[in-house]
Amino acid sequence: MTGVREAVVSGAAALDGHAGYAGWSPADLATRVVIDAVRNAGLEAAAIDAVYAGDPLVERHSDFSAVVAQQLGIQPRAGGTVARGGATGVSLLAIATQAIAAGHIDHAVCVWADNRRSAARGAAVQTLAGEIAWHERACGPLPATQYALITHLYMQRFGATPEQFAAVPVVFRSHAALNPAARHRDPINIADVLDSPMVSSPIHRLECALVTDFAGAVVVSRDGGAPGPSVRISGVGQSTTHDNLTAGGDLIEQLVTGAAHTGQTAFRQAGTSAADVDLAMLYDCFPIAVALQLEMFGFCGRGEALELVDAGTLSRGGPLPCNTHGGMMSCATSGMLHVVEAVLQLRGEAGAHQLERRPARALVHGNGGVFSTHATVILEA
Amino acid sequence: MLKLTDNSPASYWAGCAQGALRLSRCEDCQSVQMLGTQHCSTCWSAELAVIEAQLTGTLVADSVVHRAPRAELESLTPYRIGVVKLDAGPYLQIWVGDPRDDVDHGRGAPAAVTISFVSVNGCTYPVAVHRPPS
Repeated sequence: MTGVREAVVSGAAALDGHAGYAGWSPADLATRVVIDAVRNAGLEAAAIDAVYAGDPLVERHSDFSAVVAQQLGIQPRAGGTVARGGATGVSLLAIATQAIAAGHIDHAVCVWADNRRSAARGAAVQTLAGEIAWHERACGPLPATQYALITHLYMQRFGATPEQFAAVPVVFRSHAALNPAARHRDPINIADVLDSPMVSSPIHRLECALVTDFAGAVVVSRDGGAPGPSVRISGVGQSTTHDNLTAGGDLIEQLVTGAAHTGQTAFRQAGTSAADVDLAMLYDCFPIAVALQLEMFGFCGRGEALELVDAGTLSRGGPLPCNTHGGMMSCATSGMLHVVEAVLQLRGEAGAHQLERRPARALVHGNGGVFSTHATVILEA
Repeated sequence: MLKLTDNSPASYWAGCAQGALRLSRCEDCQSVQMLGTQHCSTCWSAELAVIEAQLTGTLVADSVVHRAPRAELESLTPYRIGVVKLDAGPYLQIWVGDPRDDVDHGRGAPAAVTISFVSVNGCTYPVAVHRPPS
C-alpha cells in the first residue's frame, strides 16, 4: 500500500455558518479555527510544521498561509496557499497527506476561511462571475448559469425533471434541521424549491449554495504522532480538466468530470470501492454537482443519480447518508466543512446530527470552477 | 517566433463590430480555438493565425438568466444564454436571441443556429439565432 496511509486527521474544528463574524478578517477566522483544531488534536503550536491555507475570496495576499502562520506565532517549515475553487478544502488535505507520505513534515494544519457574507455582501457572486473567461462573461452569465447549462444537458440526455433536482436540497435541508450550526434549518419540500425565485433556469434560489462566512480546519498528522482520536486518510486524488465551461469538451459532450479520475485514484490507494463507503460528503454548490459525483464515483450508473435521491439513499437513514451537516445549500459555504463533518461523524462526535449507525468509511469530494478542478479523499474510522 | 497577428480579446470584439467571428487557427495542427492565447492548446505551437469563422453551429444547451451579475445588464433581464458548438470547432457561451427582446420560452436547445451580432451598451456581441428548418 502507498505511503498515503501514514497520514491521519488528528484534529478538526469549524465555526458556525450562521454566526456572521462581522469585523473578523479571513485571517482572524482562520486563526481562530486553527487554534480550535490544534487543541482538538491535543497538540501544541510548536508541533505544527506546515500551514496549508485556502485562498480567501474577499482579500488578496501574496501568500495567505504566511498571514495565518504569523497570527499563530509559528514558523512552519512548509506550507502554501491553494486556490482551486470549491476543490480547495479537499485539495489542502491531499497536499498535506502527500507531504507527510514523503516524509517532509509531521503535523500540518489545513485551513480555509472567508467572510464572504459579512465583508462582501452582494459582492461574492459578482466576484465569482468576474472569474468567468472574458469571452463568456460578456453576456452576463452567473456562476449558477454555468451549472444550469450542464443541468440542461443532463435533462436532455437522461430525461431528468426539475422535481428530481429539487429533491436534492430537500434532503440536505432535512439534515441541516438537526445541525445547530446550519444557517437554514426550517423544513422545505419540493414545491418550496420550485416556487423559490428562478436564478438561472432550471436552477432556483433554493438550489444554490449559500453565501456565508465560514471557517474550517483540520490537523493532518503522521500516524501515531498525536494523542487524540484520529481518522485515517486512506486515499487521495486530484485532477484538473479545464478552466472555463466552453473548454470542457468531455463535460459538455459526455457529462464526464474529473471526479471519475480522482475517485479511481483515491479508491485504488485505499484498496476499496464505492460499495464500501457509508458516508458521502459531496460538493453541493448546485444539485447537478451532486448527481454527477454520484455517477462518477460509481455509486450508481449513468443517469441514475436522482433515482438514488428519490429512493432515500442519501438520507440519514439510507445506505449512503450524504452531507449530514446540511451541505452548502442549507448549512454554509465551503467544502472545508464537508471535511470537518466527515471527521466528526467517523469519530462519533457530530453531536445532535451524529448518525445513529456510526460510519466507518467516508468519501469527501470538492469540485471547483465549472467542474474544472476536483479533489477526493477517503477517510476511515 | 510569434506571428504579428492581433490575437487579443480586443481583436475578437473588433471583429464582432464588423460582423465577423474571429478565432485562432493553429498553422501546424489546424486546431481552432478562441483568441486570447499565444499557443495552441492542442500541439503547443505558437504559429497561430486569426481566421473569420463560419457563422453556423448548434445550440446544445441554454438557460434563462433572471439576475444580472453586473449593473449594466440588469435592464436586460431575463435573457437567454446558451452553449453553441460552432461548425468551426470551438464552443461559445453567448446570448440566444437579442437580449433586449422578450425571452422566447418556446424555443430551446438543441437547435441549429446562425451567429448574428447585436450592439448593447456600446459593444457588439455575437448572439445565436435559431435557423429555420431547411
